[in-house]
Amino acid sequence: MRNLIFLLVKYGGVIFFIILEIVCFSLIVKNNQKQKEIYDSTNQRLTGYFYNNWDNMTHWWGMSSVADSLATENAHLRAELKNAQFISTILKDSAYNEASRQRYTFIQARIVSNSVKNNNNNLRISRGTDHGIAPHMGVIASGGQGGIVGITTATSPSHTRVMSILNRNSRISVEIESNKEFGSLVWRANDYDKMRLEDIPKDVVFSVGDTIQTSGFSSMFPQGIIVGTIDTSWVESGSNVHTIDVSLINDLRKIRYVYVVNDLLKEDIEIIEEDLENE
Amino acid sequence: MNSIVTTNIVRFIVFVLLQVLVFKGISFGGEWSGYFNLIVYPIFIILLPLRLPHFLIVILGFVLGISIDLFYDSLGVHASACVFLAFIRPVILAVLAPQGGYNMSFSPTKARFGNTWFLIYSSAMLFLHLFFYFSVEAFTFYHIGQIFLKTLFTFFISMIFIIVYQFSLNPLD
Repeated sequence: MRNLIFLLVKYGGVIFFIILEIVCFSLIVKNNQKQKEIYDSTNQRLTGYFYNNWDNMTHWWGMSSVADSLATENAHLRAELKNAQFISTILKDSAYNEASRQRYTFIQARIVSNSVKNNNNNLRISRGTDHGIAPHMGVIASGGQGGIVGITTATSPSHTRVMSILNRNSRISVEIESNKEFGSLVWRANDYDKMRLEDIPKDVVFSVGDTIQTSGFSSMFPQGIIVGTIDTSWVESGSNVHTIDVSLINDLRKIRYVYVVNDLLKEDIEIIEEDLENE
Repeated sequence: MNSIVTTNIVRFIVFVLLQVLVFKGISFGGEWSGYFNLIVYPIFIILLPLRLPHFLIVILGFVLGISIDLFYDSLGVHASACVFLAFIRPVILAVLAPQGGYNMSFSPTKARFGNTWFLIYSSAMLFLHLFFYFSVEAFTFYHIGQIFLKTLFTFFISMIFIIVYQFSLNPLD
């Protein structure tokens, strides 16, 4: 006991200094917006740099540049698709005026780090604010049958952190293709190829194998991107909604290239959302 | 003994209240007002008794900083500066030790150690505190010039108050 007091008097200052500064800086980064942004950006820059170099070492040089150019081309083609357009066709008397304008563009990116094992998985991609990426943009898979990957959270000039759909905080608005019933897609932190569809009322009829696609209700994903198929479903006793397990169409372990969805009408939509808050 | 404890408790409460109710609201310098802050609460750490164990000073610094932060809505920023100041205090005191050392039952006040000594000691302490504080506030050394200017301007106007306080009330502890 005497020794303990002696130690406290002799080294307590240093010990408490280190402990309390750690406490202070975690409080700062947690509670102050400006400092948090600087921390996130620096963190992204460092880890992005590290992962990028690591990835380059383990990746074939020629292959990656060829695939990059193909992915860029695909991003342009994808923007030509119908679900990337904002249809402003209107009926006026009997005159029929068809017009559509660009709604979504796609930014191709390469994944430099990925995980599927944790409860809250994140990815890093080799594109950042320099390429037009901002937080809260949807990320979709490239190649194969499609599928979605996640939502951007923190950005630096060259790299971006993406919250994977395999993350407990992720909620994606999706619908059943056959009857357009919509619900939320969440992850229960079990299998990397299974997710849970919630909020579909008990009286809705569907069958196993039905396709699940994005609903287009948020500005993150265009409508109609295929997410997966219904695997099993049941109704919990006392509940009035279905519990549906969805098999994802894409294998998030093997994914290398993604597209980030840029919604050109995002500001328009935010304006009316702001009005709603003001009311 | 008890009077020293009471004095310091009262000083803590008075300076926290003065800082968050009065000095926080004072603003001048127009568009340069971000450079002129009145920050006087470190005087509490500066004047803590010499015989107080180092670890207690660090803990008290943390408590003081967090109290200020709660009102400034900047959780952790003032606290980190106070903890740093409390940690560095024995070093400053060792550098400025008079011949024959300190009488450990005193507090480092103007009344005990004289005008010159107190001015050097409190200036060094306040300057270090402000520099650390503005660095943490900026959270990057990218605008190091700005940090220095803020530290300097704030240092001069805050020092005036500390001098006025010590010379008018001239507390022993």
